[in-house]
Amino acid sequence: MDERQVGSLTFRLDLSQPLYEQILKQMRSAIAKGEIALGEKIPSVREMAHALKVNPNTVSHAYQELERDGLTETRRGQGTFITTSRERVQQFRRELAERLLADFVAQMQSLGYTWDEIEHCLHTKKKEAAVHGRNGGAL
Amino acid sequence: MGETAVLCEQVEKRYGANRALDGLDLTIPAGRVVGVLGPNGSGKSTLFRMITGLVRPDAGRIRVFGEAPGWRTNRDIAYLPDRARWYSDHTVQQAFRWAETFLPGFSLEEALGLAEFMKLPLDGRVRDMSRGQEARVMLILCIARRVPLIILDEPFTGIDTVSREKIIDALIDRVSDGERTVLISTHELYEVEALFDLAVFLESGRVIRSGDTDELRRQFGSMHSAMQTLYR
Amino acid sequence: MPAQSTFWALVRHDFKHRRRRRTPIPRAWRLAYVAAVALVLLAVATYTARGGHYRLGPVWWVAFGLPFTSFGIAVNTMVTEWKNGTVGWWLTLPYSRLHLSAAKFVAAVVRSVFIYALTYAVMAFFGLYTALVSGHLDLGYTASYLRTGLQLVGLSLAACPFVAAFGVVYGALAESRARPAMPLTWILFSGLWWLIFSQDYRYLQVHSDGVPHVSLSPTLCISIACSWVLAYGLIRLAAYLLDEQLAM
Repeated sequence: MDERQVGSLTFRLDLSQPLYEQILKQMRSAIAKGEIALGEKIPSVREMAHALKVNPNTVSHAYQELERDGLTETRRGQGTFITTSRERVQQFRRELAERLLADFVAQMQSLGYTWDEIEHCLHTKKKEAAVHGRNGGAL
Repeated sequence: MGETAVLCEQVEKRYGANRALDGLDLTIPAGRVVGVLGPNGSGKSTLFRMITGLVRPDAGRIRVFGEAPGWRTNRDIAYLPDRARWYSDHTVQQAFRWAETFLPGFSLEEALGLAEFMKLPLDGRVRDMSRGQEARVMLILCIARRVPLIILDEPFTGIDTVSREKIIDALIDRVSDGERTVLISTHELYEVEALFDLAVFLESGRVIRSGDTDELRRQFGSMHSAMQTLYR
Repeated sequence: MPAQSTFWALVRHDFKHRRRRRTPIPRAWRLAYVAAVALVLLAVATYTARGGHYRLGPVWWVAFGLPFTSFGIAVNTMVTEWKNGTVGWWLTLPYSRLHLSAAKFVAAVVRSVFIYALTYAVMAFFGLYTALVSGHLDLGYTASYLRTGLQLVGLSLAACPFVAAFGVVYGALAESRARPAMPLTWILFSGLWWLIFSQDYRYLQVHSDGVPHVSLSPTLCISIACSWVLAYGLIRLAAYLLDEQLAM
């Protein structure tokens, strides 16, 4: 796994996973987390392809998807920018969390966990994290 | 979109008892970067020689942008032959002038830019160059052309890491700016695999697998492990 | 397509003699060799002249060796593309194979012209130098000596297209699937040569002093014309070999 820096962004690409999905996922979370500020310009397809050493088609494919998400907008002749709408990013972040949560719950339930048990698990996890002093902070 | 750059139907080529291509079927859509992968002797070079009209199929049909390959279709193809060398008496500048004269679509301006980027002295003579430098010159002759199809046969063989990285960077640039189909054959993947959006695996003159690289990654893991799985 | 200009550009590119890769002999060394050969020739010329031999007319027989160099040059312009690993570039140029082999042929002929002219100049110089040293240089001798040379070098030059075209075919054959036919071509070539030029007694007389003389007879003109037509056929054959019969 390679770590690559593009401007303020850090990417981790794993060549044994589909690249397009990795780029898309990492861009999405960077935006959701606020690693790239609202209205900020993102690297061009070419710059991104160079930095990541991947096919420009893969990058532009991911960029198209971001635009479809409403997270970016392309201004003719100027490049691609993060949306200026805080609301849109927040909403996207909520949707993303919603989806992760739904997945998580569904999988736990498929293992036979009840709502209470799931809640208990989460509490335990939180305490553990606090002890280790990591991971917990962000939540 | 949807245009086909290269089409092969049941293509056969024999050298004596050896079948270099043995019923090869292949469709390469335009505008993609395609890795043509496979061990030595799997037919990669023969396929490329056929696309550029160097050799003719014994049987089957082959089309480049809808036409039978020949010297006319070569106007649209930039081709780096396998194990190619350059005219050793030329300087870089002379090589560029040669290309400007004979190769349609060659842009001297782009070539000069690439030469600077790849740190090639313009008055350097090919005879005095390392293999890596000579390879950079030949690669520039191919990628400084505005043509719809670029074919590179083993562009990384025997080339130092620095040259290889520069070549990959230059290729990413070329692919970014337009509708070009690029075919690259290699039997070692190096850092190049992230460049392909399609991969074609050849063995004994046949396509044993082809597809979108991300799909193949989902299935096999990296291209490298795909190769290990397919050629076990 | 600017066929005309690219054709001559191809000729110019092919005109350059390309040796195999390896460090070339430095310029200074080559000049030294040329100088040494010139000195030896000069010494020999002086010596013969002192010995009273000054009629060098028969020396012009050398001109008949010139077509062999044309053959060598033509084969070389073809074969170096393979030997130097540049054939993939050359044969994927967007020009027909006839265009490509014709350029090689013309380059070989042009190069031959230079070599023939140089040979003529050198021979003329030494011939006249010998006469001068022995004190026999007069207008009549000079004129006849130079005329003899011109005739023989000219005759070789007239045969040059045929030989050069044969060289181009030979080079193409060497790299084709028809390679086993190479010995056969020698037989064919000798046969054709004999057919065309066997009537030489009709235009080539050797005087009692060993000096050859060429007279422009119809036989000669027809023979030369035939050889040129054949040369064209041979270039087409080379183009066919490159088109259909490549061993790669």
